[in-house]
Amino acid sequence: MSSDGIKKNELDKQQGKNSRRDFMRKLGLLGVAATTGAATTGFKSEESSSSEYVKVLTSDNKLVEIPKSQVKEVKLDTDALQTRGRIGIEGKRWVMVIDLAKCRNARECVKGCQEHHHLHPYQYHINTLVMQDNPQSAPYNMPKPCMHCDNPPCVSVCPVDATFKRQDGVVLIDNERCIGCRFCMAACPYSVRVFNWEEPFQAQLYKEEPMEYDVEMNVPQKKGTVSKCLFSADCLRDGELPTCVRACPNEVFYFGDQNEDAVTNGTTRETVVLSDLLEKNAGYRLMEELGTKPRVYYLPPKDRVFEAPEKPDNHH
Amino acid sequence: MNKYYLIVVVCVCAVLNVTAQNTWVVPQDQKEKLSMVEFTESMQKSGADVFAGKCTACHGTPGKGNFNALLNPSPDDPASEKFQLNTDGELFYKISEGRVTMPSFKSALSKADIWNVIAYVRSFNTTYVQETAEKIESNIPEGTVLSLNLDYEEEKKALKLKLTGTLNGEESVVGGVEVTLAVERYFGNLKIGEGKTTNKSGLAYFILNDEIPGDSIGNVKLIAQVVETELYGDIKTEKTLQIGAVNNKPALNAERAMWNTVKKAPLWIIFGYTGSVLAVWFFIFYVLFVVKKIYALGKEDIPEDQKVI
Repeated sequence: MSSDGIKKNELDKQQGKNSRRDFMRKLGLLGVAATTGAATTGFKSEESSSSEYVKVLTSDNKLVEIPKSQVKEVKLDTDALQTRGRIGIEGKRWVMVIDLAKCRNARECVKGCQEHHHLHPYQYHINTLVMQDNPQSAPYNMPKPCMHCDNPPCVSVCPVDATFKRQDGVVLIDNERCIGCRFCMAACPYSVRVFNWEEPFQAQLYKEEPMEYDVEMNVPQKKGTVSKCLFSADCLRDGELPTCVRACPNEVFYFGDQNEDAVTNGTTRETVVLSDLLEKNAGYRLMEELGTKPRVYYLPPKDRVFEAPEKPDNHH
Repeated sequence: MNKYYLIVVVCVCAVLNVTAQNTWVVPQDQKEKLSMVEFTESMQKSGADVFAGKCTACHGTPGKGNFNALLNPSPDDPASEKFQLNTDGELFYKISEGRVTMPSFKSALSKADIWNVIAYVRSFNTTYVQETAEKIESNIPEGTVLSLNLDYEEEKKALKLKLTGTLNGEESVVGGVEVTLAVERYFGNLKIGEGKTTNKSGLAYFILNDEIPGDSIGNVKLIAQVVETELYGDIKTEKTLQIGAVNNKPALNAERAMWNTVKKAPLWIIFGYTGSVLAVWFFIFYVLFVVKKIYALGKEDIPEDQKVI
């Protein structure tokens, strides 16, 4: 019985490596291949020639049409994906700034993120919390992603080297290595990690269209493993802002490279000087006293443009 | 009588004050701004895409009235009469600049994108008749080919922009044109100072107060462009200059740390761990060696005079 199961798994894996539909789903790579025609190391490409149009599902889940002659089927190499996922992007130090004065709990960041990473509606890589610092002050909304600490306690405790920190500062988790011990969840002072207690939200999709595991997106999700915010590492590679940053309608998120000392607002796409922004607005990090050195900065909820949310239950 | 008059004046002022808060004043010249081209179906289509991505979260779907009514000022339904009373120029200005809860989209969207959104919004107004802009006369002779040149002047510590025009093979400098300078960053361009107008010699200087962070050899990519694209066309120049600060910061996982991989673990852990493993093994082997020695001693014959028992 069990040996049958294993055999079936192997068969699925085999299909996953050969499925063409699978590759059509990865627009980023498809786009790169289609526009530049370059076959990057780790990818094999084959051309098809016809003047007809084909429908392609892009990485941001849009259905687009492109001429069939322009289509190059890109074959993803799992090893290449995992290797580049471990290495990261050279010369970068990603940093996020969250302006609490602008958040009105639209939760577009949460929705965008859950869609991108195939999460259950109750699983959050980023969540918006209602905070109240003391009974006198007004409550405010606080989006809380992974802090991508420069001294990450979660990585220290991982017994199997599944979770790791890259040179560009992003903390990722490799579900192919994760054994589901949940030490990292216990170690994280910000409670940002989630566990896949049951079959993934898109389990049906994985069955129909088997796909390669992309460590930079943590898709497909896997039952019995830990998942977490990845700063949308796959988007960063394509020069795009993370999903939550792009999805926000209220100018809350800034994202950029600390080495360039510049961050770009996801809503207005205005690029500003990071050090100026933090200095002038008294930027702070969560739980500084722990020495985790987070890569996410917050700007205090001062001069808010939105009404204060309802007081949370823990303060009466 | 005077008292009543005063009350009326105060009331009128109060009402005007309230309406002033609710109305969004657009500068007259912006109000009259018109699209250079006539709106087409394809413009409306791409406008709809932009709308879905950037506007729906607050404005809802046009015509459905499902905008976010909790916001103040109210975003309103773009298909509503109040919304459609805006001139094209007003809509353009409001989308570009934003106010309070409405974000500014001048960096996020291109001018063409903004016109596309307006085209889409206007498609919900059956009585709308579009007016297009007349071709605006510029102060330079027609047919002049403009070009921007970018250089760094060491003594002035400033970037020099030179705007020249070529007409019938003759080159001349062009003054009185607003230009901007920006430095390319990973997710967008960072403006260096405010826009400047070229002087009589066609020059504009951008002084660098702080060093711009560059790449590993100090290269920075600069982008200079003419602001009024409708008037002068898309005049742009890009140049990579070695004027930035050298980025020699180490990778974030370069240091030895508890959280790093085995090879990059702190030395005290590597030595401590290896040392204790060796010590344990040494002890085990020592014990075995001693046991073996006792065993060997047990096998030896003991001379009669040394026997205790």
